[in-house]
Amino acid sequence: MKKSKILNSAVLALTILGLVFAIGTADEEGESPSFEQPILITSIGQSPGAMMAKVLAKRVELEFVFEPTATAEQLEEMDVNTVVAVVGASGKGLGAAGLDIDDEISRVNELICKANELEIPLIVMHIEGAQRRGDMSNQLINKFVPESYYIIVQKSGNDDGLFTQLSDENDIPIKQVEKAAGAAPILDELID
Amino acid sequence: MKFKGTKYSAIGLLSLSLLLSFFAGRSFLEMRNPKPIFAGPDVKEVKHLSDYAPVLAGTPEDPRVYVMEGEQKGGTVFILGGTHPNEPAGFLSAVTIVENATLERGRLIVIPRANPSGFTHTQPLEGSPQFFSVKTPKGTRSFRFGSRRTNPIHQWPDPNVYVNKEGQKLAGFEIRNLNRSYPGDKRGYLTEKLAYGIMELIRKEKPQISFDLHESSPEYPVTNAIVAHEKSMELATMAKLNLDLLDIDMKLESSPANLRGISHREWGERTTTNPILLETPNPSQGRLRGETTADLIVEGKDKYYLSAANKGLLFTDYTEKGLPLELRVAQHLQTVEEILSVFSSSNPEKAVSFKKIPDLSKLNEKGLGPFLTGIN
Ligand SMILES: [Zn+2]
Repeated sequence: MKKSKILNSAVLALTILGLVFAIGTADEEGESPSFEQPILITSIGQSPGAMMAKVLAKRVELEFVFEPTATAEQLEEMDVNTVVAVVGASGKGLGAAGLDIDDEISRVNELICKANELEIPLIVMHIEGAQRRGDMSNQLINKFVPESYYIIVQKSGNDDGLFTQLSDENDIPIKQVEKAAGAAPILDELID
Repeated sequence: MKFKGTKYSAIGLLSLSLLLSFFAGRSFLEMRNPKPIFAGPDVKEVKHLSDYAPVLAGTPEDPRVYVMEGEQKGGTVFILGGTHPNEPAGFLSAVTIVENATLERGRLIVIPRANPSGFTHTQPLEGSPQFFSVKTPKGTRSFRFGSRRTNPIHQWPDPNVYVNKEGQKLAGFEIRNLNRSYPGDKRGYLTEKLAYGIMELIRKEKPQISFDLHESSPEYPVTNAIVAHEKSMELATMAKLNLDLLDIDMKLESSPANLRGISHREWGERTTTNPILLETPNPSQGRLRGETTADLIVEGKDKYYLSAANKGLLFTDYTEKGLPLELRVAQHLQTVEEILSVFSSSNPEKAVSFKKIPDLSKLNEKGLGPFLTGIN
């Protein structure tokens, strides 16, 4: 009698645990699509953040193509399964690439349209902190972060909660990291 | 009461003014005596820039060049301090390296006073002190605080508009700014000759990496920054991510491609070197500062900067602790060390690595003084 009671409780506990686990996993799967290698690392705004992503991707040995000014046509030619776009506007970076902010917006627009067409999911990162949150950066963040399937943000760049708000409003999973280097293990975990 | 001038009162006043002129003149001319820099244990040779560009021989713009060598062969790295003599951490970082650093591998070529003429005067209307001093275990050591530009006594007059060799139009006085004069001109103005000399050194020594050490105002966006040419950006990025882990927040900035005449642009365009410019925040140079004293240069404490920081107007952290010179030097030296170590691990045959350098942890522990005793 006593023995079966214990057994019953154990079964019940296991069932509950199992259910919780199943729901948990189902939930996660529902929120983010699967991200696969190889990845395209590009920029939204031509700040050095994209180069940071490249260095981080090398550290965790992801297979990647690095093209800060990738166009829709180039994406079509590439053999990539995920786009990782690092948002951050730099007047100097844009100047060096021979682009102005409007050129950049239309390039990224076309790139994202093409990615959607090819069913390539987009991860947006902001890893240069509060200093890369000027008006021009904010314009790009508001426009393109809602297009993503996953957001990675370095904490001080989200001091005002803009990324959390965009994540809530658009139902996009978000991961906040203390330091830029913290984005590397997340990319590694996220991308198969 | 009415004072009636006599022959004797005239002679008295005249002698008094002569006496005053004598002391003022002596103090003024004292600025032209360069303070000594002591060659440290790994300095193998002290040259002059005119050894690379003879056109500079005998001019006021012929800085000393310290060549340091490690035990083992490796690559070559060039470090330029004192481009702007009112940015003391850049200059003192180079001095600290020359006087203290020892190398395991490779060669280091260091010019601590890139623009010697800029060290011989202060900028008009800035109220800058002529000297600042650092307390060392051997007593106080004093250094010159100079001007951003070449002394007009050495190069004058300025044109209304300066169009540099690259066609960049700048304000006339920028013709005396070394960091607007690259790639320089052998037959140009004195500062352009100096810039040409530095280009010659880079062309002849072929350093893999070249640093230009600066400071900037705390209210200027490009501070706490590594400014990199496209070809050195990956190197800068790797070092930046390592510096993050030491809680040194150096942001990355791209060298603007359309502003010509600056070191990180012209060195990168015209030579094989990877140019890197570093900026730390210097309250004694900014526009918001109050009284400009020698203490402000060394301690970096200023109540107006504190209130600007509280209003969120600065591009650097700033508290009542100020921004001490030793912290800014530590930031420079740690960044240099980090960049060299990243470069050396991916280019072992061209490695340049320190055996000893007063970096962040050492300067935090001991301060700057013990590394500036001038005796090794
Ligand atoms: Zn400077």
